[in-house]
Amino acid sequence: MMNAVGATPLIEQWSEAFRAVPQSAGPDWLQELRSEAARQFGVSGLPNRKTETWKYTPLRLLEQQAPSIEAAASASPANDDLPQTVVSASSGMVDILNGRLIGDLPETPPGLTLTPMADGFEAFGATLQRLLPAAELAGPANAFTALNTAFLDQGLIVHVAENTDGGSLLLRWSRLAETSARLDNFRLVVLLEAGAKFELIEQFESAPDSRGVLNVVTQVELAAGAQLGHVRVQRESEEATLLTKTTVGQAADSRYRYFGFDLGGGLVRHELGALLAGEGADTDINGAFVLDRKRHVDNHISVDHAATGCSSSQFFRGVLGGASRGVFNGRALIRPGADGSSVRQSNANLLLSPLAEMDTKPELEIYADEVEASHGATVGQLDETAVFYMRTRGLSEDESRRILTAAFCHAVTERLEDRDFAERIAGMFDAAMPGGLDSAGER
Amino acid sequence: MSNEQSTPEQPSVDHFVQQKYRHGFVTDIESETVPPGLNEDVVRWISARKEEPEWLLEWRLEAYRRWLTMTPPDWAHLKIDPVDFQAISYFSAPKSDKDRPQSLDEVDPKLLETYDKLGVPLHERARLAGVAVDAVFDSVSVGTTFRKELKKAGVIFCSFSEAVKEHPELVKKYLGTVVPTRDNFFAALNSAVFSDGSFVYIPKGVRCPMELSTYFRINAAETGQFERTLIVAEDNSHVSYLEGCTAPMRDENQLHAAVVELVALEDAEIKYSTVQNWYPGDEEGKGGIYNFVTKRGDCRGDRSKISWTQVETGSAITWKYPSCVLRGERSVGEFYSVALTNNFQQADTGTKMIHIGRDTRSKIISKGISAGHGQNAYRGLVRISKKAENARNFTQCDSMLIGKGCGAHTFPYIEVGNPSAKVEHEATTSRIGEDQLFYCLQRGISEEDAVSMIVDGFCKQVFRELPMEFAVEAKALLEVSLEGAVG
Repeated sequence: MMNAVGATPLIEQWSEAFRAVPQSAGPDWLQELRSEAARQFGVSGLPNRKTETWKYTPLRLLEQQAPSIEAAASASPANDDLPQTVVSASSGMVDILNGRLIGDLPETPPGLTLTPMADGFEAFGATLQRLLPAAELAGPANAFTALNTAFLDQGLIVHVAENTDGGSLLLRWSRLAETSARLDNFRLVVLLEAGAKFELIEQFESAPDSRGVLNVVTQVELAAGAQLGHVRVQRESEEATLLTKTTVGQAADSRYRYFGFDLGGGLVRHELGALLAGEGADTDINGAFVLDRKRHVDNHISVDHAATGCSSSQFFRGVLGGASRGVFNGRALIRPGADGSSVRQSNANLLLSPLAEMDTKPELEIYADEVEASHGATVGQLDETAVFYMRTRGLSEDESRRILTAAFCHAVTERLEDRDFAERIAGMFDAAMPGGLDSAGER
Repeated sequence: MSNEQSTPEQPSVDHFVQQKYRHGFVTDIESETVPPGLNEDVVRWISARKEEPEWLLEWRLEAYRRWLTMTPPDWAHLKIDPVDFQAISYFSAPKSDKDRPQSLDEVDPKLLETYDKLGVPLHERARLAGVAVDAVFDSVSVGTTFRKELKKAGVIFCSFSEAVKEHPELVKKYLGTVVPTRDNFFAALNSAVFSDGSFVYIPKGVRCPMELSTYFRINAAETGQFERTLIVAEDNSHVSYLEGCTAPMRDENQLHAAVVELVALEDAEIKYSTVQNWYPGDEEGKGGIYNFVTKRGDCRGDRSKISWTQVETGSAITWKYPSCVLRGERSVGEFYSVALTNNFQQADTGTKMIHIGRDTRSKIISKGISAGHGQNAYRGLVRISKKAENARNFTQCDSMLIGKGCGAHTFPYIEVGNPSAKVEHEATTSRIGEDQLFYCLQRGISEEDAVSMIVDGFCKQVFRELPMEFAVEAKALLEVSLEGAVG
């Protein structure tokens, strides 16, 4: 557990690191924003068990590793050192190693532009000036966003022009083994103009003995009628911490479809907040995870219905073995006047090991009356009659459980439109299954 | 909030008597009301006034000292103006008969009208309206007949103060063992200054011959704003306890912080039903009771069972989470709740089911109805600890919205640490069914009647758990509470 005594040196260390950073190029407002963020961080400190939104996610790993914030040396590793890609994307791939863009950005089809943050202030000045300060910085719950903003330097802006299809882009986040733990910050901005269409696939991986924290803040803006597909496949190492926050602003009739697949990580937390600001916007958020050992995965989803006729769905499945811990917090807020809203939340989990723990909290906050909202959450085991049925067909108990457990996660992968991709992800889940009750904790 | 402490050397009783004069608050010297404010002397004064033993005073003082270190909880989904705890008077002796209305003619006609709608029997109206007891009927005789029967069964049912005098060993053994003084801000406050309440003890193997109701306990209506209830059910015993009544309860005190502790030993069963209809404030949201209650049952023995049923329609603010600690093997916890908020009422209510023993089961059925500008939140915790093998929970919480300005919220916390557990939670929130309304209207049923029919159906699962007379009254109560919510 994080406590004030343990946290103080980190807060001081990082605040000190901020003062040591040379104020790099960028407009004045950015320098002010950075200072303000550093100030906020210094005031609020890190979240702890008493911070409501972090109560189930202690920062033990982080405290142990006490990562330093310093720019990683630019490296150009051989392609063999980097993880295999999970998919080949039509518009190419961007490599981000230890929180820094490496290699050249790919040639992109017309309508899709990729701009490193440092060059973005000219082309997207006004947008960034509006967007970057919009990230919430106050309080311990937002400590990592404040840090990310204070050290805002590395980043990428993805822009898709009006009424064009930007195809699909793969972001390959990787971390190599390091002798000392570092905290790397990165800012991703995704802008889809009216009627644009795009698919963003992110792959997070790290070398088995890599440590430290990757802290990514992603800001997405979908103009009217824009459609974004967003897939994350996470297979970080057991010592790695991945903290990500994604905010999605949605104009009228836009559509956001998210899939998060967690198959690894030491401490992984993803905060995803969608703001349905325009009439008829739709958001569909899906996730599946399978955990073993002492892994910790926390999915914090929040959907804010601020306009009429919007719909949202949250669909999460989790399998927990070993001494792992899973956290799901799904919140749906329907603001006054957001009539005709529809909200569905579903979170089902399988606990396979006596040392594993699942904490789930599906929340509804509703201030309008013409709405339909429902949620369901379960934590349990496989249906014994189903296991029995499999065994009558000649399968071993272990095999039956493996198949049924995998099928439990396939309920999410099946929702992917790309069949081949769905198959590949499903295969990853099959391989990651902790097996039956007996082999809990082992892969 | 300022919790000033005066020096303990001050002569307590005299000091306050003088103070009363100084401020000229109270002219009647015989009346015993402490001036506003809380410090150790007030706690000592209350304890002395109730002629309590030393250990209880120490217990109160310990609670008071803890309270000083605590802050009011702010996590609930409630908007509360800060309460000035030094502006409250912490003890007020029951009204004497001459201060009460002498007959029903002196009672607010609006109140009588409500009794009529609720179907409160004529002979009960006077008592409920607080008409001087002697002027109406001999309540003592009702009480004594009742007591004789209980005595024959060996059941102890008395006021808390009486229990402290007559059965100190039982009170000492169980008081604060379910809700410790440090539990939360309001529980600590209650422990320091509790006025009175009920004590129930059911001996081994006894099935309480009747449903116990505060209604029959003499002076029950005057237990004040800090009520303390303790119910102990020994092995293999059974009791059903009713608290509150459907008739609107008016009270001068805005802040109510009660504590209820239930202890169920092996194979014992406690059923605790509440109908709460404190003054909810007017249509504008002015006034109304703040109700901060800590209720918890401890299923200490194997195969014990505690069942909470509540119908919450009153109070401006309700902060209440009747809970079960399922310690004994195969113990069972249940929570059935209907919470209605109309006008500007706010409720943050729910339950906690803490599964510790193996094969424990719990069930939560919560129905929230929001109308007007009411804000209604269900907040619940289901925790399956590592050792709770084969634990089972089912939770259903449904919310109904009537009107544009209201809100319905659900905050269920589910923490599962044992792989053999089965936990299911489902919740729905929707507007009152338009097609159902339309169907009723089309059959010639008025809109108001249709709404109350639909609401009644919505709450049926909970009403079914109430003792019969209570259920009938609860239905009428919802109708009255929803008046003006439609159309």
